[in-house]
Amino acid sequence: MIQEDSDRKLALARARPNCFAPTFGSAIFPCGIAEGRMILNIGPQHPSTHGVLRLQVELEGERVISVTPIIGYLHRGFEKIAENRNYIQVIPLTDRLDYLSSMANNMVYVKAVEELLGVQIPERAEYIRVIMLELQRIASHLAAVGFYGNDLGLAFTAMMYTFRERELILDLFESVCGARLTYNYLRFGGVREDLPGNFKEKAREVLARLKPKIDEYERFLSEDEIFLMRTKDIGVLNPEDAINMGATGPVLRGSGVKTDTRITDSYTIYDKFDWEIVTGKDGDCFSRYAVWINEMRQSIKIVEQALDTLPEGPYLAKVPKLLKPPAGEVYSRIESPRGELCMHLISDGAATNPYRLKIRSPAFCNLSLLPHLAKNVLIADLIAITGSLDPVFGEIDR
Amino acid sequence: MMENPLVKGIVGAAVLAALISAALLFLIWLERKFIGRLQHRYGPNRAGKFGILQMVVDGIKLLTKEDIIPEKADRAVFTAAPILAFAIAFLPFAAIPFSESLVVSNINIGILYILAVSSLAVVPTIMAGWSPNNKYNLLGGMRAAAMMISYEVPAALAIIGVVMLAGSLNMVEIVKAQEKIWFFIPQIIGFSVFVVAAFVETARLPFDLSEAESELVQGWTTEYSGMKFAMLLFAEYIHSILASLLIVILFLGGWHGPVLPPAVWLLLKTFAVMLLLMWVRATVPRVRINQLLNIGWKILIPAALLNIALTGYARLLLG
Amino acid sequence: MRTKSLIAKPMLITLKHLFKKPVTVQYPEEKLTLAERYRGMHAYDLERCIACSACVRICPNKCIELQVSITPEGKKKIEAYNIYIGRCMFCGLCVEACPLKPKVITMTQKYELADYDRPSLVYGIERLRGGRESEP
Repeated sequence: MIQEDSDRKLALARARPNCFAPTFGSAIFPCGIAEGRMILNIGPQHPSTHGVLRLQVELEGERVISVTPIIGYLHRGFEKIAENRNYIQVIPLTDRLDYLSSMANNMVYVKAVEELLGVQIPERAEYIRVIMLELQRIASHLAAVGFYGNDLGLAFTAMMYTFRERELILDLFESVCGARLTYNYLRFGGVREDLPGNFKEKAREVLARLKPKIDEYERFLSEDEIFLMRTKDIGVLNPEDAINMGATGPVLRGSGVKTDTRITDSYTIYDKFDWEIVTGKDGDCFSRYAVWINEMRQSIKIVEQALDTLPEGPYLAKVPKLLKPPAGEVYSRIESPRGELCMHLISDGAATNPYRLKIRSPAFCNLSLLPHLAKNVLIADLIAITGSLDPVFGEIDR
Repeated sequence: MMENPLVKGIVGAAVLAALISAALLFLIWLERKFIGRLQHRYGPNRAGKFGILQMVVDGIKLLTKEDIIPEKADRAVFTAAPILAFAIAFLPFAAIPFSESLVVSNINIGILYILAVSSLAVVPTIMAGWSPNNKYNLLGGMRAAAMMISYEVPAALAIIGVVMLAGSLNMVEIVKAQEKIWFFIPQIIGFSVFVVAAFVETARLPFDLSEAESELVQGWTTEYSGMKFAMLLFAEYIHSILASLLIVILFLGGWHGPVLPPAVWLLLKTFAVMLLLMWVRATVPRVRINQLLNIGWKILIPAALLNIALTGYARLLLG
Repeated sequence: MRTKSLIAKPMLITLKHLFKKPVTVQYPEEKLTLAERYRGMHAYDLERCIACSACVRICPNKCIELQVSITPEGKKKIEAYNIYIGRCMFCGLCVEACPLKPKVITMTQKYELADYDRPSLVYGIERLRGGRESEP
């Protein structure tokens, strides 16, 4: 991905006045473009760029010759801010990374600090965390499916339907941690508050309502001939490329690679539950969409088991309020809804704030596949492929 | 006095324009409401009871909005496109019979006239796509042109079957010929072809490639704002009404029906077809341009030709 | 999986929704019931506050301002307690940091906080009065 250099671009445009589209020239097309082609800027303000993605597309008619994603429009300097905050003050900041799965961001950071401290987490807290993370995965995939419908031109219908159920999960989150989007719920050594009294019943109710609805989405989208026409065999990513190019999460599993950090790292207590890794068949947009749908089912399975076996006990280990972890560094990774979310945390042992906090965001890795996937496709396919990668810009631009 | 063709024409045009505009406002409101309910939400419900005044409010908004003409646009063409689109959209209604006598101009070649003037709509579309000097407009305009041109062929071919059965190009005669049996039964292939082609001509989901808001922002109307945008929007909507009317007149028995007066039957049927259009719009994603053209050239045109052959053969057999 | 029903099944699903009551909430007239723990506007109890400024220190956005003077008797007197609500991200760390029980600073269920100018987004002691109980 190229951060464009506007001065150089301007100079080039002045030097070559016969450039086809001087104001759209960029680092990849420094001397203009071939006859009969044009450069189209899709975004950062565009209905289907999932936030503030800018795609610089070289077109020949409707055919996409090459595409360059340009990012950075939502950069807030998260990693630098984190260096100037106490350890605990970073938690609410992580909420703003991937705003569709704040719980996972909380988790990866909290996990990193816990590994640095070497804290033992109470069992109940582990269960609560798993319940929250998996509910978050469902909520995030619901949003992804809904947005995907929009990307394919469905007049908001899929989105209305999926958001209706996502809302139920957000209600659950609200009852647990008081917020619907920016939870700030996980704490070093556990969770901030215990589950409210009637949580189990309410969660079971929500899951029971969710199950038939997921089948309904599948009927609504997967049995729609036009949806199949638009997604099958589009943006095919073969397993070798997926691994070599660093795809993660549903994109990697959509290509048929059976890997999931929840299993390979077995962090928290995922190994206690009976579930399996969902993989797609063909590595096309439809497979990635199918992974979302089936992962939601697996998550429901995990949450149900966790609710059944939720033990009593403390929900927070004794951890000092003002942390000063020992010097050292950790690399913590979890499976966020978008893939492998990692944090590299360095403590110098003297300060109450992290020395360095680096985030490896899954959406960024997946988005970097776009130039590879969207070669020689039509504009409509470009949008379909972008949507199937499910980028979230809070996380990509940080 | 009404026998004077000039007077009849002017009065008819005025009445039609007023009626269609009123119907338009109502239908747009209905569509928003109906799609809202299909999507499990209310739809407009703020302006007036059930949001019935929503279109009035939107109209005022569009009228009072700044009319922006892009700096590098071709001003004359840019301004002419919406006017032309709006005017051309009304032309076919002159030959549409609302009942046996309720027709502005009962011309012998009615259906031919309708096909001819409705295919003019591609001109303002190209104008609107090209003149603002915007790439999204251009792509949308090119798509719209490709769609309209390639789907006029199957539509016209499908109509030939009807004309063969009715033995006339006159719209009134075509409806009269359906007294015994509505043409969608003997012409089921032609009917299917025509419905799909009409859907495409109306440029609505799943065939709204010329707008394609998730791909081309707003397609060929991207740079238009205020009243000009409203006119383009209305023109598109009038095409939908026309397509529904044509489906009803050509295949669904026109004004034939028991008890109620003929014009009411025609409008009711048209309304039902409009509802179907809206229902489909709320349900399906958009097809891709190459798929759309493939459907047109590789499926619909052969099917329409087959339909003509079958109809001709049947006529030969039955005398 | 590939079916030949074309778009019939999706059409039936949308049709089914036509006869259901819409799920959207008509906001100004109708409001969602908030959860017990909802984190909205703050409430502050001046009488019990010991001016330890734990909340001031923990706030990541530094949106709490506490002015304390020492009385001749050597006691702390709170001169001002301001929350710059325009800067607040409602993370709730201040509530967690408060050492007293029940908490002196709490979060209410008030969420309609839009205002016309920036100065009115600074909430002083008077506007922060009233905990959860006094909410309508």
